[in-house]
Amino acid sequence: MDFLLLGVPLVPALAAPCAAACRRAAWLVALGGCGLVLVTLLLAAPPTVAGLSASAEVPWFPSLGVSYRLRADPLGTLFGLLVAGVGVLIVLYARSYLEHEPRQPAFFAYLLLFTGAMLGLVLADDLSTLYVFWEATSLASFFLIGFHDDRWDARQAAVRALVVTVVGGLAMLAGFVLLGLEAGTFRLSEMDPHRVQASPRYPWVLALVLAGAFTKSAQLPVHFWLPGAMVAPTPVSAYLHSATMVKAGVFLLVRLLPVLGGTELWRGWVLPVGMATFLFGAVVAVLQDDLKALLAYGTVSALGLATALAGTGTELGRDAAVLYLLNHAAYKGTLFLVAGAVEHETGTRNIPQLRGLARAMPVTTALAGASVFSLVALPGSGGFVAKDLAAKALGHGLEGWLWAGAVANAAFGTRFLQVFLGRGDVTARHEPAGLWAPALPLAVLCVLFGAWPPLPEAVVGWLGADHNVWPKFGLGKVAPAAAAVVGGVGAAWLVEQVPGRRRVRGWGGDHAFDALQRTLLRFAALLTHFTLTGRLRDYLVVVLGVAAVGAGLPLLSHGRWPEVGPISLEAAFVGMAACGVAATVLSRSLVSAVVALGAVGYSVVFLFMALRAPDVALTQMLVETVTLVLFLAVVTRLLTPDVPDRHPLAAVDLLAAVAVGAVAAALAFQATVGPPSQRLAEFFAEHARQAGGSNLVNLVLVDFRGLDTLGEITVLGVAALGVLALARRPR
Amino acid sequence: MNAAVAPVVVPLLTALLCVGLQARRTRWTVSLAGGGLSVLASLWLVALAHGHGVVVLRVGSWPAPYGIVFAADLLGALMSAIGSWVALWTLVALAAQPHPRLDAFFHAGWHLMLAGMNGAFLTGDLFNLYVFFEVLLVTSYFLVTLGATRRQAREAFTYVAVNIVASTILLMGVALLYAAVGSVNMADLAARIPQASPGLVRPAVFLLAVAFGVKAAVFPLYAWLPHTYAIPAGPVAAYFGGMLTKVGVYALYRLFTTLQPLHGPEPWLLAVAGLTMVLGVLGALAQEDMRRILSFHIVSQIGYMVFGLGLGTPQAWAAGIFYTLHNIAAKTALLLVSSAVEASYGTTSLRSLAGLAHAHPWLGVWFVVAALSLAGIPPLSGFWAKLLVVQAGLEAGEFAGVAVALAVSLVTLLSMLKIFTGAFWGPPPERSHISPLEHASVVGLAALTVAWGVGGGTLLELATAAARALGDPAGYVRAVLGGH
Repeated sequence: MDFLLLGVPLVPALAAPCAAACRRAAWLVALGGCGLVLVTLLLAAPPTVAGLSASAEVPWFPSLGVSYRLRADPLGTLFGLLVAGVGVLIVLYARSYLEHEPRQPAFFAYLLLFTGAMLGLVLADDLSTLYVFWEATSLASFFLIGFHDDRWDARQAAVRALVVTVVGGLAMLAGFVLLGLEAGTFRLSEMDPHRVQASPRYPWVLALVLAGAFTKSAQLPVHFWLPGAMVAPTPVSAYLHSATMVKAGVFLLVRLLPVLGGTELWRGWVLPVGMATFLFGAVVAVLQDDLKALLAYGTVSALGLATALAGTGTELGRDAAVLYLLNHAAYKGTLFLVAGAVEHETGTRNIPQLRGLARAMPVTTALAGASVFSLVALPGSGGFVAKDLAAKALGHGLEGWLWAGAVANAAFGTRFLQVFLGRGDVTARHEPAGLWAPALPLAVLCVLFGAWPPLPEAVVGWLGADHNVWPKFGLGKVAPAAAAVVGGVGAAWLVEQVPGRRRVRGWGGDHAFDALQRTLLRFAALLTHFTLTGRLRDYLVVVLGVAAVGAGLPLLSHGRWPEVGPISLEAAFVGMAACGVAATVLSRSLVSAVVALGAVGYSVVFLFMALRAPDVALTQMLVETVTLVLFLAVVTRLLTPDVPDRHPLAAVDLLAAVAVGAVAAALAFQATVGPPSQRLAEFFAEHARQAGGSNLVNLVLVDFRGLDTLGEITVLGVAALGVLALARRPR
Repeated sequence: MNAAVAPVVVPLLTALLCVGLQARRTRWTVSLAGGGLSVLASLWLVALAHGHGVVVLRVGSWPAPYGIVFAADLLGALMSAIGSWVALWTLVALAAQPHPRLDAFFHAGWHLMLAGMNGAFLTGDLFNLYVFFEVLLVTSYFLVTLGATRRQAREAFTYVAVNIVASTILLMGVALLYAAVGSVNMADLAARIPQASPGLVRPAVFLLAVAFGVKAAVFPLYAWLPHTYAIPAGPVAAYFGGMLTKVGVYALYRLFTTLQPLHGPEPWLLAVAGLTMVLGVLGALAQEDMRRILSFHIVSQIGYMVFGLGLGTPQAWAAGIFYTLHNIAAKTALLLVSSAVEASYGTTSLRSLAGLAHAHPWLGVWFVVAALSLAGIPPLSGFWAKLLVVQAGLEAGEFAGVAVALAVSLVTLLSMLKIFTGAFWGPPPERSHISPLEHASVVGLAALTVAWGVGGGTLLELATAAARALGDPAGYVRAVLGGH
């Protein structure tokens, strides 16, 4: 039974190709995939309430200690239900929203991939499993943001989102590996917090893991990818970029709280980032004129608050964060679906243009009202319960900031609701049920969370805590909320007085991202231009120079050097060769340079004879003669047989050449200092008869090392084939 | 026939047949059958080497170190298996792009190069290794210039000139070791180098490292590579891009494990690895052409393999070997996509291409799979390869190296995105046909990276066993020399 759990992320992922293949019925496949998972999780949920966490695993890379391991604990199951439940609604919505989209099957395939990945993420009990699904959600997000890939802004937004989340992901990967090494296991449920937190590498682990969580949950200063992601079709914005994926960062914080949390460091790093993001997002949201940008910054703000709650490091903070995230999924999901319906029916998302839609879209308006009710956290709404618990968790010092955020949220809600009030020029066509019915359950949840005490209590109880979440109503609670609403309406009015184009842009870091990307490209091009010149000469100088320096340096300490003795016959031939080299270098005509080079070769022939090696001398002479003839034949047929002008870097060339020559000579000398080893020679001489001959050189070539000769014959054969092929080459 | 030499003999004979056969269809059949047979032969060798340790063949029955030996350990066998696999599937791609007048040459060259590669992987004799490098070099030059225009033939000269210099350096190194030890048998060298004169051994080892470094295209010896790989026909570039540099990587592994074993992190090797990663990936980012981007990436990823080597522990070598095998599959798949695109659209420039994912959805899928694997995104093989390298680096305490490796994998992703958003996204082009054979060739390699991602436990076990064998040079020496 537990093994069914392993299939939960795989069912949607495997349904994805089916969806891509079924043209008309893609949405049905998607609905089936999400529905099946939802049912499975609903069946798996009851035991977890009683504290029984089902888990299952299959080994993946056993020698690495990596396994595909999932665990249905309360937290994971709760988020899994959220993912699958919202998934079902989004599929239904998207079917109407993308009615005329020819690439609908591809859309549902990506959506299913995402659902599978997200489910795997929330249920993972192994760091590697978690990371695998983590990156998979980023990828699905990339393809969905870039769904309209004929638009530059969609492509660029997709790239930004992916790169930012992957940067965090890479840091997180390093953090996970370190964490695994410190904890001695990759299994989340078996980690010992004391061991990890006592480790000197704990700050590194924490910083790296937080980098992953913050980028995914769009915290300052990398929040910009989230508003940018709004170019995706609206169902995607509602699902990934509001209700589920962006919550993965906070989810990770909550998940790791028992292992990494509760320290001063945790509180000192997480809480400030979260609070700053919360306030920044709330204020900037109000300034936006685009409905979806307004919601996106609102999401940034909400993620900030949830992060701050997790940053308290307490159990109360954890429960407040989870409750707040669930509540946010309900009201923000509804708001996105409403915004999508508005855009679908009017063709615009520009707030100043939109007025008085309530008449044409009454149900949508009601849904918007319910969700704004919760957003503004009026008593009786889910938002009120969540915010109340948040205030308790944050403690007294931070309540003021929370109220400031509430004012901003009220202004935000006011601006959103304006769209439906008054009378305007833009007319909505009608209000198809497919665009409001899927939002209905979410809107109901918004109200139910605040009006029906057992619901939030059940959630918190499920997580295993027993604090009282139901707020006590009183003037002390209601008055600030009312004041915030009044302040918010006023703020919204003030914002409207400033022309939109002066306030909406520039809050994201997207321009900075693009500039950084351009700079990196330019730097890369410059560097490549200078390192890869395309000139053979440069490449050879590097290769030979490295070889000469590296091989020459050990000689300085370990080398043995010749003692200068009387000038012998050999030395005279060496001198002759040196003269030949000088003549080659100084010659002004290619023909005479080649002849001088030949002289060098013949000096070596004499040297071999003086060393009493007539067979080698004979070989050298033959090779030298053939080479000289061929060389001259080629040189005299060249169009310009003269030596080209001196290269400006001739001095460098000279230095390199002399160095290479000197090192080669020194190495050759080292090889001749000691007595030559006779091992092989003796063996060959002993076994010559067995090999069937008396000339050792011949025997080595054709018998003892006959395979080398076969290789060299192959080389010659290929060269011959090459000449033949070049002759057939197109002109 | 002894298993150790089968992966060399089969392609050599196939090459001869390809030259001799006149009828095209027969030649195709023989060539593909030969490729398949090579794969089977090398897999057989993997099984033997895994089961019984080093498979030794004394050529001509002369005992080591006097004659030449073939000594196939698990690393050599694995490399020969992936090399044969790559040769087979790039041949399939070649079948999709016929060159009527040069067909026989292409096929002969394909198998000769495979014979050279497998010989280099399996030989236990340093001078014989040099000979197989020569076979490889001359065959690769031959394949680069096949069907090339006059200008392309001239550009290929850079390739051959740099590599001939490297071969000369290699020969000097071998000669010095011979002077120091009195033989060229690798096992014998491994056993005697510790007692030999450092005045000879150190320069010799360095010269070998430089020569292998040029072949593997590590910093600062990599400059020849990116330009060369822009010249040849698409399937040739895929074949080269997948395998050619890895022969150099293999030789570096052999040098620094069997011959002159590292014990713990080697700073200069790690520095070379880091610079190779960075300069390669930045070079890739600067390109505006699919094939050029991929060529520069070859360099960058060589850095990871050398990083694994330079960490100097069997665990890190296992990571490096896994990375190498994965990278060969992913990189060849990508170059085959590029080859298919070039054959159908006449270009790989990102400025001229757009919307390929709409025109050829499956090609888009293969590209995405291989590209993400290259960038190390889970659950593909590239992720596990990266994870292994990162873990080995962190365990060795090389934090800077790990940071570079992670940063480079991000830039790799950026450049893959550059290709994807440039060539695969955007308004669909006027659709051109891509043959099923080309799809098949890409799938043949992309499937590996998926399989090794989802169920790579076996491969990791093999890589670990191979690395453990490398960490025990004495065992290698015993296997080769122990018979007398």
